[in-house]
Amino acid sequence: MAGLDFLFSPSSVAVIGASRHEGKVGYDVLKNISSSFCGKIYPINPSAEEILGYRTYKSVLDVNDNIDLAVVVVPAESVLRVAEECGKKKIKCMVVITAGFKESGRKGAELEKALVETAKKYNFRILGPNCLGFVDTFTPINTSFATTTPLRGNIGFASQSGAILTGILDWSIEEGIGFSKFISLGNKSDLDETDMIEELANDPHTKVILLYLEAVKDGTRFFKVAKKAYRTKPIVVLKSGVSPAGARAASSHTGSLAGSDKAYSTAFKQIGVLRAKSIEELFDCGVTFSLQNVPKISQVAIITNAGGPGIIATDACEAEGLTIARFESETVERLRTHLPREASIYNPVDILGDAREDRYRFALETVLSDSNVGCVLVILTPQAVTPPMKVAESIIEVSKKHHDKAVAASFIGGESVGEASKTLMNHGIPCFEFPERGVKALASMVRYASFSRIKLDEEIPRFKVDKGRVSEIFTNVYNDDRVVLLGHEAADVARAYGIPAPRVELARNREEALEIAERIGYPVVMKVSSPQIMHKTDIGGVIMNLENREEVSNAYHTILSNVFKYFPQAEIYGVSVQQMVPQGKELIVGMTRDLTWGPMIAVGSGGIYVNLFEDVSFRISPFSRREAFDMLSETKAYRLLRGIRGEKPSDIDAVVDVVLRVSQLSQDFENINELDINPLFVYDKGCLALDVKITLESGGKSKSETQNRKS
Amino acid sequence: MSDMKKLLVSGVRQSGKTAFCLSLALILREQGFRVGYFKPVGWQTLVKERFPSGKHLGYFGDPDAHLLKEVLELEQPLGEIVPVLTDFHYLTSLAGETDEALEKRIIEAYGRVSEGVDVLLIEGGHIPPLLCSRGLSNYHLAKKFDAKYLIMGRIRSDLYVDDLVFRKTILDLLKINCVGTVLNNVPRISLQRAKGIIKPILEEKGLKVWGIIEEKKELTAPTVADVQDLLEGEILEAPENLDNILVEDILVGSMTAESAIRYFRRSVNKAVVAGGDRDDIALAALETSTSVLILTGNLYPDVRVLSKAREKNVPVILVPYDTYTTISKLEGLTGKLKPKNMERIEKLKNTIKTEVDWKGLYETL
Repeated sequence: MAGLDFLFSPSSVAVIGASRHEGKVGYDVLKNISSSFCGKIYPINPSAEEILGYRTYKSVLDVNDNIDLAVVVVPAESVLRVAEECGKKKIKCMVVITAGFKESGRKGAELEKALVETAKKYNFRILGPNCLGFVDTFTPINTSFATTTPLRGNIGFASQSGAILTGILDWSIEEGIGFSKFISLGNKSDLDETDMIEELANDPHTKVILLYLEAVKDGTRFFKVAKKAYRTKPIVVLKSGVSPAGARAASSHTGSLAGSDKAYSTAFKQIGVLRAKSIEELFDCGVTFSLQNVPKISQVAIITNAGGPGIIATDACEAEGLTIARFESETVERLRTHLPREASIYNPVDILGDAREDRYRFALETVLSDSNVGCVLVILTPQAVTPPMKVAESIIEVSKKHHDKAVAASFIGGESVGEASKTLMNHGIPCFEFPERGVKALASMVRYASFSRIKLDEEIPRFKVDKGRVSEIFTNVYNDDRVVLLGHEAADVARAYGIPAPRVELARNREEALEIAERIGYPVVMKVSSPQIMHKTDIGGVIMNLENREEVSNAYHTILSNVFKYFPQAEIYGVSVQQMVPQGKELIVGMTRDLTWGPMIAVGSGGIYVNLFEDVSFRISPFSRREAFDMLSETKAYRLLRGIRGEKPSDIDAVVDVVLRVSQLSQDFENINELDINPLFVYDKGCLALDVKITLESGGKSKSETQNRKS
Repeated sequence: MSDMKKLLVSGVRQSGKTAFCLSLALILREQGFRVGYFKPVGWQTLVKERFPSGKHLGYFGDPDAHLLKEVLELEQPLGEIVPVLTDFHYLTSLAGETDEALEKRIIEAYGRVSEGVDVLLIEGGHIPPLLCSRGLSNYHLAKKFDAKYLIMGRIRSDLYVDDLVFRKTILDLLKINCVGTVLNNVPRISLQRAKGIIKPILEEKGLKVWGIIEEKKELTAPTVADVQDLLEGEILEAPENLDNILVEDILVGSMTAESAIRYFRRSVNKAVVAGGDRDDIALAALETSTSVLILTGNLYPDVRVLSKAREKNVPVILVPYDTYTTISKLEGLTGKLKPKNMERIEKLKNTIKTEVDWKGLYETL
């Protein structure tokens, strides 16, 4: 990614649309660059001679020097011409601050498309358009039109919202929080969050990567890049549009439908990306990662001078999945001998309201030396004798000696603790007004530590399967102008991929039904076969346990008449006749192709109560056998499979196998949009896919008469 | 003139009489025959036309005759191609004319349309018994012009077989020369049955089956232009030719976007009806195979929805009705052949050329 070096550390910059007039964006940008950047600066303005002491040029083509980066602030309608000139000038990167592109409607979208094409033609990269620019505090360069420059620090922050960026910038200066890079992504026409992760992961000045996103542009690439980047440093993401209403707002705002939030959560979890639920959480985590090192041990100790906040913090730890450390006996012994008798020497350690800095120092020193403790939260409430500043100084001093452990503080209060809190922050100890925030921040560190222990590049299993057979079935479905497979076709697909399914055949009339039933043997199940009917049971389209000719014959007519009654417009291909199999534990294995992340595989409790129990766990395909197993073990269905109250355990390996084979199928055939095996009957040995549903992408059929119909 | 061949094409509603007449006329013309078209008893509806100004105006007339006149470039005025017009209340509209006057009008028109033609295709009434009360049903007309009689047949269940044989029986009793039938718009899933079981039975009963034509959405499905004719909404986004975009299914979007995607994926070339404020539903529809987006309640969508629609080449129609009313209106949606849609007409002709033994049929005339 040498290209991004030209973006973040250029040796020369052109400001296209630089202005003489204060208050104009073209002026502010030039002013920010000139006050931050030491390289060569070329303002481009067709009418001015000189701005802020720099000689101006009519076009970049008039500059007799190489230009690495162009910052563009001309009106939208001039951007294409400017881009063309930048291309001819062999400029490597363009930051387009100008708005009026995709976000403004059809014309803008076309303009943006043309802009991207120009960039491709001349092989340069674009940040934006409709962005605030970026700041790199180490180069240093500030290409934004923000009124202030962020402090230098080790947080790399990229945001899809410019407004959040300006708000955070203002706030961070007050809080003393510093950034390595501060990037506004804008419309992400070319460079997107994934490019920034890649860049920030390789940036020695960045310790933690923070992102605010409304959508991920290319899920597959994000997945790959972030998974690798995560080994080197933590990534914390605030992704908005979680609730259906929020998602609606986000799709209106970005003009594209983001993948489902479930898929985002799943992907983030799988990659190891930490997901913040609020702006506050995003920066609490960011600050903590920035100031503290990731602890090697996951258990937490709490030191407090008041009982109540100590208990609250303990509850918060439990809720966040943090384990309260059990101290070693030497620790307990030391605390017992040196603390007043009324003090609580077990975790949380209550050093009482009359505690001064010496008691804090002693307690912190002692618990940090305990080999069971990885993180410490120090809580202070202002009591009559408490000297907050002195306590802060002690914490700073003691924690310096324990680099492999994380320390956070919560000084509860306002006026009396304000200075002390600031001192803590300025000296590397994250300090929060309330303990829950501190707990959350520590929990994110522990979570990161556990993620980064997970092995990378585990083997993705590949089974021997009959791909040809599946292609053949799909071709037939497309030739029949359908995208929904009939039951027997879907069962054939499953079998071709080694997923055991009972024998099932389509009967187009009563005689055929009888013939099939005789051949596969009683008892049988009969189901209506129609691409329009998704929930067959609901309309009386399934009859089970048919034991002889008479029952099969009657079932055929009953099913058809039920269907005619409840679903008269359905196209009925016939009735499928399936071997009746013994009842097993009912599971569901499914796949839905997410718009952002691709195939998302699901496994969980199956049957007709799927939507009620919602006991389903997800993973983005592909994944290893271990991940498939983890996925299953997250569900209650897993406990059912292991056997409850002396039941024999079911064949868990067989289920894991089905999950992996479905995953492979969804990788091999990108035209499968949806797949559901429900129920999957699981037995002591083996399992059977009783009902398989598959929906294909409509690409096999054209939309217009004028196009060729065959895929 | 006496060796002019005459074929009366009869059939129930939606059996494809007009499409067959048009195709056969084009095929026979290719063979160098001079072909005329006559529809003695027409069925009048409002024929709408979109004017360049965007106005949507219409006149009362028979749209089939209008189509044939345009495509076949017939010289005769519409009044001669279709001399008598009927509708649901023809007893009133035709009250002023005696049976003799009507007959005279038809005979005079017949004289004009058969001038200089080798083959005259006579399209039967909207339904075969139409105007029987005035002595002008299909049977009366066939007798009057001594035309051969062809039945356009539909097969939706076995009862349709009885209907065909019944009509053949009456034609025999009336001594009208029925040359057989063409089974039209047979669903693909019934095709084997039609060929293997129904055709032999019909032929055994003396009804020659000249062809079995598979139902093809591309020939029969309504287009976005038909949707617009029906809804007369405001077109917010329109690709080049609304006549070329098929609508094979209609879905309502009122769920969450996540459920909508799964639901929309199961349907191809569909119209999606949703509230104009449901940007998420609109965007979900645009991620799947959608032919037209119909936004209800006169609620303008976000500009970004429109730019996405443009990107995906999907027309967007805004209507003032609520979703229920819109769906109710769309129930009347059928595919209509339009003179402008030459591509579809060409395909239709080619289908009939390959699927129907038109040479054999011609030779019986």
